[in-house]
Formats: sequence, structure tokens, C-alpha cells
Amino acid sequence: MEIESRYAITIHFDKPSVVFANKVNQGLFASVAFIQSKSSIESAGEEGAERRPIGTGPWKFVEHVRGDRIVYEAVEGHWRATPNFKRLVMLKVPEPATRMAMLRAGSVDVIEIGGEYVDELKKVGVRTLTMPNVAWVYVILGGQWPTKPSYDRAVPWAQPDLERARKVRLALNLAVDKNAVMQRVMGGLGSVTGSWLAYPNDPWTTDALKKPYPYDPARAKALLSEAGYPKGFDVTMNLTAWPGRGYLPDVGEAVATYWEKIGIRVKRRPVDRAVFAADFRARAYPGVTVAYASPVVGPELWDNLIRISHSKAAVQLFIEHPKLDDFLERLATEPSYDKRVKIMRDEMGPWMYEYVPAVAIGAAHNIAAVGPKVGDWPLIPGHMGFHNWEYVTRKP
Amino acid sequence: MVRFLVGRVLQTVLSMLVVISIVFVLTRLSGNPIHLLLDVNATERDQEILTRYLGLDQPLPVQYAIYVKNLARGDLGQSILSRRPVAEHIWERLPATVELGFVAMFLSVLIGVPLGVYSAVRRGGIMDGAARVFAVLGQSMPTFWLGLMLILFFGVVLGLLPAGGRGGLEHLILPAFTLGYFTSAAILRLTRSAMLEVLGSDYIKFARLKGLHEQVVLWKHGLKNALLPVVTFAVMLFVQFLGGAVVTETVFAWPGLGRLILESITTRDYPIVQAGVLVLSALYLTGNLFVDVLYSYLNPRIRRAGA
Repeated sequence: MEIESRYAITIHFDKPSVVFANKVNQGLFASVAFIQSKSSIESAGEEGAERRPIGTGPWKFVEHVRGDRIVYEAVEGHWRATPNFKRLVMLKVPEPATRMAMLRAGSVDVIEIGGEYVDELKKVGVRTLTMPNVAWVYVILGGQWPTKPSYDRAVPWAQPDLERARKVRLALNLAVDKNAVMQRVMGGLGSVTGSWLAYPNDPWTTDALKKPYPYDPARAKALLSEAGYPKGFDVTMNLTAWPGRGYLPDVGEAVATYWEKIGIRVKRRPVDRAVFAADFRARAYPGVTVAYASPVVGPELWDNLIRISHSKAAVQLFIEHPKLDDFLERLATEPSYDKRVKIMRDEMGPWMYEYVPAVAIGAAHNIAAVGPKVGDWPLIPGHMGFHNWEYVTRKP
Repeated sequence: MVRFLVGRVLQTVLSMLVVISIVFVLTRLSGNPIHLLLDVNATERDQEILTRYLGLDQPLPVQYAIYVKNLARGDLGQSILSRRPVAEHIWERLPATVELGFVAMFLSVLIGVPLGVYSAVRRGGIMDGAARVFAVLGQSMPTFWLGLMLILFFGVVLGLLPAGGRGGLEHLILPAFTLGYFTSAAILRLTRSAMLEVLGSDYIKFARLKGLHEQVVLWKHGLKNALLPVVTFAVMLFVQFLGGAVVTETVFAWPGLGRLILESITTRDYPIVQAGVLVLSALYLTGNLFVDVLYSYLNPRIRRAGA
């Protein structure tokens, strides 16, 4: 690394590193490096700087009462945008029913709410805003890591006989009515698609890849028989909620119910994510399934997959396969965006679609319910959390 | 009396040690907090570094010894999540819980005692029946449901009271009533039965024979003696409110100690869970001790038994 000037550094890599730009960009995605004020940390110390953070954005930190609220004030004449509201108060309200009541009573102006409340909100005339394509929902089929010590060859969808294993995975997909799951469990907030971890509007998503695996329980049963499981098999479905994705245990429960209709015996296991997180890292959950929603952590599909699916990744939330490793390594070192799109669209996407790595549900949206004071609010597709507060307009 | 007191204090200290030990072990059985603290892409090396930094690499007996040693010095440790002293977190949340507990207890007594007295005096009448229905409803309605119904009615439909959060006195009314309704029902029944017993006693008959006004008989002579079990029950109630208000605190977004402990359990923030339970146990056991001392002072038979 060379320091060119007060505002410029040059970093040399032995090969192109496309992911690096995301890591240091103060952008919308996870795993970024935030640049801090050197003088603030030197004068207040790390703890002081943490308690009273400062930044260059249009909101100034006022106070943080832990467990209750965080308060910000608008920065007048900000270089990017002066907020239309003087204060921004984030209240911690754990109970969704209380959040809705507070919105209807006028105590708050914006609430985060799950898709299962959409109908109720519409009935009482509350306006909702949709944050589209914030996560990709699928059911992980644990155990697909043949090079790891915890690999269990007896797991039906991960067995060494690749053809039989694929038939099992396909059967598990065909057994599930994904449209029903999307409509009933997720309140219609999303779109069913077969394009693994890619969204309908992404340039690497073709119509062929968007086509969901159909709902065909008869064919699912036939495939299980062909794969050597005419009487089904036993499987565990972990029911685990993740922050901002509280619908996941219900998705898992719905999928488990569909599987039972084709003869698979499902043991439900409610598991706290703190307990399960260790299993993800250790690849210690062969034969276990869990509904998961992978958030958007980078601007391109492979940026997400390389973190959760490469054989050398810290966690395994998808599949380990040398071909997938190869795709990801090529993508991570290909400087040309057009070439990366081509690899994802024409090679990796079709390969994953044919391989059937998990049970695909589709792209999920988030919603916010807003009160009468809130006017226009430009939201960025793919960003899971609330953002762009400074651009929210006030209704007259 | 002194021997009795010393014995009770020693029992309290021993109980505290048992509670501390049980909580220490149970929190560590619930999972490793580093998996929640670390980014999903953290390496094994990152896990090792954080584990060592938090002192979680030490054997359990060593962690326990360090914990007890620090406790003896009044150090409750540091939050794993915030890296701030646990005492700071507790002090931040305790006022909200004490505030809610106190007002809930006050409402419980304010509603329960007069209704209990009235119900005993008008035994068998319509008001007695209504008071007993009130009591049964209070003890059978789930707190969660009651809280939400009150929010909907008073907060949304009538718009008279805030729907949640902590603020001025108006923010206290609904959560305090929700928390206190169950116990006001219990106080009502306790007062009623204590009053019935007292009203049937000889000294009350004598007071009436002396020609004292009925109100004086009831409130000065009757209630004074009937209140003893009620007062001690109310003290225990207050202590219970401090730790048992998690549901009410969650429904009303009240930033109290119960919610802090619940959130810390979810994030595996062991030091806060341990300290929170320790504080609540200390309050509960101290309350118990106070009640025993009060009883022994007021009831010579207990004093003589302890002597």
C-alpha cells in the first residue's frame, strides 16, 4: 500500500480483487469498513468515540438510551441533503401489535412490520412502502460438503451417488407449493423464482432461470422412489428466526408440511440462532434442513455466494462443489463487469438451476408502514434496512 | 430475636450463592455469544481472538472463581455486547422498573383493599359478587392480552393515553394497570378473607357494643388487623414486579430490567444476565427477610420460636 497524498492511497494486489471495493465502500451492504474520524478517536478515546459517534451524514447523533431509543438531529445546510424533519427518534418496540397501535395512535410515524400484517394494515387504511428484493428465501439442505470431516454419506440429498442425490433434491422442490408459501406465509411480499440467490431484475437472471420449479407432488413421490426412498426418509427441520426475517420458522413449518405429504417424516426443532450459528461455522448439521433468507450483501450474486458457499468460506449455507468454487474464483478476479455478468448468466446460473442445490422459494420484500406525516420516501431496491431518511418528505 | 435474625441473614446469603452458581452454569449452557458477535465471514482465528479477549477460553471453574472474586469486590463485570460496565446497564434500566413496579403496586392496593373491605362488609350482596367477578377476571386474563386490549381501546380508539413507550405520568397508567390488575385481584381476595375473619372476632363485637361508629369499627379496628397479611403480600408483590414484568415491559415497550435480562439472554450477554438475576434475587430475598422480620416483630409467637 502506498500513500499518494492526504486523500489518496494505492493498494497493490497480486491478482484482481473485485470484492475489495465493496469492503471499503461506505455503502449499503454488509461487511464494509467505515472510516472514522482520527481526531475524534484520539481526543475522546475509543470508548468515548463509540458512545458519541460522529460522521459526515445529514443526521447528528444526540443520545442513545440503551433498550429504549436513539435520537438524531438534522444537520442544517448539509452538503448532500438537509432532512425535512428536525429530529429522528428510533424507538425500540419489540411487539409488532404495539408498533401498529403506536402508528395508528400517531405516537410514531414509521414502523417496521412483517408481511403477515399487510392485510390488517390495509383494513385500517395504513399506507405501506415496499422495499423490494431484500433477501432470497430458500431451504438449506445441510450436509453437502463432501470434503469436510462432518460429511455424512447417508444423507439422502448429499449421498455420493450424484444422480440419486439430485433426484432427492428435485423431489424436495417439486413437493412444495412455493406460490402458496409466498402468498400465505410471507403475505405475498416477494416473487417465486428458480434463479438461485439472484433477483428478477438482475442482469444475470434470464427468463429460463426465473422459472420456478413447479409444484408436482406426484412426480416428487415418483422421484423419491426412483432414488431408492419409496417410503420416504427422516429429516430434521430447524425452525430458526433471524433478525428482520421473522417469517422463516413459518416458512420452514410450511415446507415441512408439504414434505410430509410425500412420505418424508419431518422432526421440527425450534432452535435459537445463537445455538445454530456454531453449526453453520463447523458444518455440523448434515441431514438438517432450515429455512433461510440470504440478505443482499454485495451488488453481484457471486459476492454473496463466495461468503456462504465457497469450500474455504467460514460458513456453509448452501453447497460445496468444486465447480462452484471455480465459478466464484473466476468471478472474484474478473475485472470486467460485462464478463462477470456473462459468467453468472450463461454458466453459473444454468449450472445451479440444473444442480438443484436446495429448495428454492424466491425473492422476498420488506415493508414499512407509515403515518400521515410521511410523504415520499425514495428507497433503494435490495437494501434490507430503513435508509434515505434525509430524503423523506413531509406531507402537507 | 437476634439468633433468629442472624439465622435468616445467613440463609439469605447462602441462597444468593446458590442462585449465582445456577445462573452462571445455565447461561453458559445456552450457547456461545461470539457466534452472534462475529460477522458471518469471521475466520477461526477471529473466533479464537475474541474468545480469548472475552475470557471465555478459560475453564469453567476458573471463570466462576474470577466471577465470584469480582462480585465480592462489587464488580459486576462488563457487557459482552457493549463492553460497558454491567452496573451501568442495570442502573440505566432499574429506575424504569422501580417506577412501574411502584405505581403498579400502588394501584393494586388502591383498588384491591377498598374493594376487599367493601366486599367483606357487603358479603353476599350484589357488590360482593361484582368484586369477586372482578377478582376472577383479574387472575385469569393473560397480561399480554389485557395490555394489548387496553392499548387498542385507550390508545387507538379513544386516543386518550399513549400506546407505548416511557415518558410522563400518562405513559405509566396503562402498563401499571396491566401489571397491577392481576395482583389487585389477589389483594382484593386476601383483604376480603382477612376482613371476614376479623369482623367475626370478639373485639369487633365489643367495639360495636361500645357504640363506636361503624366506619371507625371497620377502618380503625378491623382493617388495621386485617392489613397485616396484605401489607406483607404487597411488599413481596413489589419485589416480584421488579423482575416479573417482562411481558408488560415488552407489550408497552417499557425499557425496564426484565426486558434487559430477556434481551441479554437472546444475545448470550452472560454478565448482564448474571447481574440482572443477582439483583432481582437480592431484592427478592431481602424482601422476604424484611417480611420475616416484620412478622416476627409483630407476632410474639414467632419471636419466641426463634429465640
